[in-house]
Amino acid sequence: MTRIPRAEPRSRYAVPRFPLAVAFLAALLFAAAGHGAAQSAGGAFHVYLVVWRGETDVEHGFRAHMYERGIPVRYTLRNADRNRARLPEFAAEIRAEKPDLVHTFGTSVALGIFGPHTGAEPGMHIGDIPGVFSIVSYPVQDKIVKEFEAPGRPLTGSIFLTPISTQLDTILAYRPIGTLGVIYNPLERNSVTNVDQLRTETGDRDIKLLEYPVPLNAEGRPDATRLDELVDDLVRSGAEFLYMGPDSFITVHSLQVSERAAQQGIPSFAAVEASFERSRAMLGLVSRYYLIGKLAGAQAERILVGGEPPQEIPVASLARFAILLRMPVALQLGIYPPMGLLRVAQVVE
Amino acid sequence: MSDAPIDPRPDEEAARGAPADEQRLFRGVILRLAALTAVLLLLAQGVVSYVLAISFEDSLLPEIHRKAEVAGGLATEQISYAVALGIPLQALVGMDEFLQGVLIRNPDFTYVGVSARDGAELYTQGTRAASTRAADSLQLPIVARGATVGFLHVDVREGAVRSELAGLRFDIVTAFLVTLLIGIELLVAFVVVRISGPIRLADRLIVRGAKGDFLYRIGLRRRDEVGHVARAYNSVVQRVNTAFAMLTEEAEDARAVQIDRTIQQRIRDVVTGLGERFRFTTPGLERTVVPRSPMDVRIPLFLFMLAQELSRPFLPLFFGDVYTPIGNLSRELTIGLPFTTFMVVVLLATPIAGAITDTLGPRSLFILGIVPSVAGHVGAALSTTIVEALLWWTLAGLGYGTIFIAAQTYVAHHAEASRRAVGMTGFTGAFFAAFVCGPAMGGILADRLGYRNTLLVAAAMAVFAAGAALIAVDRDSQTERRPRLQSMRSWRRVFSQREFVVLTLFSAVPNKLILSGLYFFLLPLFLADLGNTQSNIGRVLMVFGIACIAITPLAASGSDRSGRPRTFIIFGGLMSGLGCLLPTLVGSTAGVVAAAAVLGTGQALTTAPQLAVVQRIAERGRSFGLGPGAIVGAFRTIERIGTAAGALAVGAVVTFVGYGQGMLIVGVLVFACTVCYTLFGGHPRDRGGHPRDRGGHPRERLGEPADARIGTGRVSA
Repeated sequence: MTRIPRAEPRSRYAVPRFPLAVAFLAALLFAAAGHGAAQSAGGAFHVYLVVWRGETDVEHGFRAHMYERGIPVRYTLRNADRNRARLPEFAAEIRAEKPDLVHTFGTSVALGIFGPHTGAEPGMHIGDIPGVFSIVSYPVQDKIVKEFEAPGRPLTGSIFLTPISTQLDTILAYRPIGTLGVIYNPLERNSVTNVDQLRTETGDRDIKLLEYPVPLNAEGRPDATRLDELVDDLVRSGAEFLYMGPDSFITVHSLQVSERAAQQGIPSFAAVEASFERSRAMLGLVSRYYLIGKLAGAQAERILVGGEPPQEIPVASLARFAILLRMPVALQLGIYPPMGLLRVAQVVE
Repeated sequence: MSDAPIDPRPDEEAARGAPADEQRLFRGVILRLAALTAVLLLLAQGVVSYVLAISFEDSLLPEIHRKAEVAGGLATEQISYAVALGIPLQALVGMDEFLQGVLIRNPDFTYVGVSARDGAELYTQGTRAASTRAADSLQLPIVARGATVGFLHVDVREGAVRSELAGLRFDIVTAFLVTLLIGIELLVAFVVVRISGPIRLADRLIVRGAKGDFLYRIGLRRRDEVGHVARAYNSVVQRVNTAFAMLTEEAEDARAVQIDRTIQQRIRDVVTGLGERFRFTTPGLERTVVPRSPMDVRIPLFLFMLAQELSRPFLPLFFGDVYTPIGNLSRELTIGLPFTTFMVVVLLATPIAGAITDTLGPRSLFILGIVPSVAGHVGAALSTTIVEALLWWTLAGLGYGTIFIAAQTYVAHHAEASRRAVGMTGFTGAFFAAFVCGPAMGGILADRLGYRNTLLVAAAMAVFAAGAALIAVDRDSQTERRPRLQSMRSWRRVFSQREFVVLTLFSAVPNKLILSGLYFFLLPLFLADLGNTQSNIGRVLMVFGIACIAITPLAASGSDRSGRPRTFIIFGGLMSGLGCLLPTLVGSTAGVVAAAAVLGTGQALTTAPQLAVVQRIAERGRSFGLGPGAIVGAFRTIERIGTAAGALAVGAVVTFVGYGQGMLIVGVLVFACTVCYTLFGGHPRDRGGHPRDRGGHPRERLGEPADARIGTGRVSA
């Protein structure tokens, strides 16, 4: 298991990107150089990277790991661009290409490429090609693997969601609250699962949870135009903190949601890096994408170099999480972080 | 030629020409030397101690302030960071926990506070000292974005620093006292063995020479002044003897050529007369007299006793450390067990060693005794369980008992009959000096080296004692048998004496219970429980020892002079009882210190007078056919049984109650015993005082001053 080094309290959010950029550039160069070599000598491993909405720090971390370990890899990047319909097409290509390993980003991509372990269809999903998934919150509930210790098929990966109890601890360490509001996409299975767990945890702590599923529009898809209205309603009902969970729809609209909440005078909490990154969330407890990517890289190394069957590699998770703090929002709201949190949080200006 | 009559008395008595003057002379010399040493040591040590104390202050206090600055600086940085992020200084969140954390991480801090630039107190934790001196308080600016927004205040726990310094100074004073005592102890022994002893011998022989006795030469081969005197005298003796031999020869020749029988007769008369008025011997056949003194054994004995006393302040704590349950025995009882087995072995070793010393001689026995003692100390130091420690410590007891007897026998044998009491004083002197120095030294060592290493130091010191014995102690020594109780019948006779039974049961045994149960066992545990350092425990035990030593001679002479030893015994018993109550009455360490002093006084008040009473009984004992030695021996044996039982008994009591209550119970017991002794302890003839005892020194009338004198040392345990 990869351990992330203890974060320096003073380091800024952007700092870890510096080595990353170098690594990325180097990896690209390497991949370009290795492309021909792989064709002729077959010396480099062929890895498919399937992403949901463009390349992220996860893929950067994955490539950085391979580069740092000196493992020659030829990458093929496929971007679903938030369209589930494109996934069977990628799966077909992968079945034909027979790469050494497939890495997927997110629950939707993982299910689209590998299928559920209970009912993968040989004509639609890939079967025996080793896979590593990242950014899946509930791999067992979502039937991607059978169980954490033994995936049950040539697929392993990492969970990236921080434990809900730790998330609540972080919120309460910032300020004691009596009411928490959550807005979520009722169509996303992992988001619903997450809200279920949140309900249990808040109940245990006598915190009132206000649940606001996003209403669906005429096409049966969540209606983004209703989000402001939902936030206003939530604030009126007494929510003291807005919760943004592992929810792709909310992640996409995280800026809008958190901005509205801040305008209404309440802070937002983000449970995943993506919804903190491009939003006005004040607080976050996240697994850093970059480190998740490195963890996936380490698992890929065990499969490719170590020759371990993926079905024998347990699903992993990071040992440490990052507390992110967006200072301008805190100052705007006048809700200042306590000294104890400041010591451990990574502050974002 | 002088007609001075030749002194016909045997050697020893011949030397008593002017014993009082001589003794006074040497005592004067020794006293002056001791005083001079004390003054010199006092000056040197005083200067060193002062410089040390000052330099501690100079180096320790700034160190603590530097630490405060670093820790305070860290806190300031975090506050500055928060302020730099845009949080107003007066709106910081969670400052109570934050400052509390600073206090917890820095036990030296008593107060942390943040004030605004205008001085208004914003956040505080801890209590501000009433009169904080500038040196103990720290003010650090909180700078954010280049501007000072406020200040962090830190108060350093002055008291903790000062008490640490005070502890160090106590250690310095203790070390000073201990070295002073050891210095004087060694000096006295050295002067006696190397200077005053030989001079006394030379003086004695020269006096005899002046009176015409040329039979002896001084057996000194040293090259110092005393040696010169001895050689000069020896050559005088030889010269005189040679001259007499030549004169005899010449007279014989002269006589042989005389025809006149009356002239022949006159020559013979003159030569015979010379031989009668003076004592000559064949030149070269003079008897060599070697100066031997009971003091020879003093340095080895002192070193050994010092080694034995080193572990005094921590031994019960050490046993507590290695404690592992044995059966159903309570922890306290188990810890007390080694003290008991130690004394039981001492008790058993005494008669056996006594028998061996008759054949081996005390010197060999002394060196032999070091072996189990060193093994016991080393073994105990390496023990990991209480059973191991117990077995090794018991072995150390074997060494202790053996060496005790060896030293005692040596002194008894080598002291000239008339000076035996003085010799015994030297013997007990070694005990006393070790008794005072040992625990204090041991405490300081234990604080710095730990229990086990201090035990090893003690073992090394015992080895030194063996070395000293090899050098200093006379090789060929035969001893007279010591009187012992031989049969059950004589024991029964001893116990038919009510006064004796009441004395041993209600005064001697409780006294020993206090010594081994409280002083050896409970006080160190109690003091450690109250949070005292080993150095402090050692010093408190030293208080007990000093009280013993200061009071013992006063009690001895007071009881002799008044002829009412019982009064002293009763008073001492009451003191001991009172001492036991003090920790409960006063509480805390101060109470225990006071108890140690009062208990020491109580011990001192009773021991010498107890002996006086025993001797009085022993004197009467002649009438029912028991030697006084037998009765004193019986008394000693019962006392030792009391010592053996002490730690175990107190351990049993402490199992059920706390240390303070344990002492309370012992105190009540001692009171009860004293009351019993007051009611039943008198002999019918003692009513209104014993006229024969008045003004007399009972010991001098007794044939066994040796044992008696040892008895005055409480260390006979």
